[in-house]
Amino acid sequence: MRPTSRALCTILLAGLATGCGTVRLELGRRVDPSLLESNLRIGQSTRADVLAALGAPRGEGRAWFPMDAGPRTVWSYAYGEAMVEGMRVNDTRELSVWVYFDGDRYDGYLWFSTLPKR
Amino acid sequence: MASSGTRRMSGVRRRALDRRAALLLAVLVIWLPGCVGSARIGTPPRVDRLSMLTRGVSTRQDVLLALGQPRGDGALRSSTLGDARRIWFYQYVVAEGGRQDSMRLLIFFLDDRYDGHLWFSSILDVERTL
Repeated sequence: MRPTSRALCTILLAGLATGCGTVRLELGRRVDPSLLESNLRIGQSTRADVLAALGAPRGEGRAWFPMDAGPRTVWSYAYGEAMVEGMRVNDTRELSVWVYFDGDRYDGYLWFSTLPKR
Repeated sequence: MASSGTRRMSGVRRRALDRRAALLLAVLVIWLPGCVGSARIGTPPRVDRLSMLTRGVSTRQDVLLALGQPRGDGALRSSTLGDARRIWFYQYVVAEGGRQDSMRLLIFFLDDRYDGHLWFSSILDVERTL
């Protein structure tokens, strides 16, 4: 079979495989938010402890909320999944986790998720 | 002879395959656009109804009545906050013509009472969306 014919057949087979059937696409790494309470202690745990519990963050930033005395470092973890039917997105689910540090110490978290519970 | 016959056969077979490939391409061209469309996930959070809620007074039931069922949950905890806040998470995503916009609303609870909110959106005309 010529390369062009082979390529077209591959495209078609891939198309039929995904077709208008549902495929789940994933982006990022899913972390377990329950570890924020079970494995870490506010004011005691360190960045190394957070790294051991959750793995490497996807991003980093700084936050200074009105109730805080000063700015804190933020590590962010993000995971998303989409259910795609053909080329149409039927559903999206996400998990965002932000971990706060006061210096090297774990100082709190914010997480929100639309993922189904495991 | 045999070699020439094989070449002739393979030439005929190749043309048949190319015709088949052309047909498959035509099917793809017709079939693919049918699968492309816009997507709306969830419903826009009713941020215009947040004024119905009173901090420290409104219950989960009040939030449910004002905003409807959340799509997810979460939690907030900080050394400066004291007790952890439970979160109800409302999410709306709209994808159209290669562009994706979203709106997210977090409702904080302390001891099952409404304790504040945070919302952010890439949909600039929020009032028109609601």
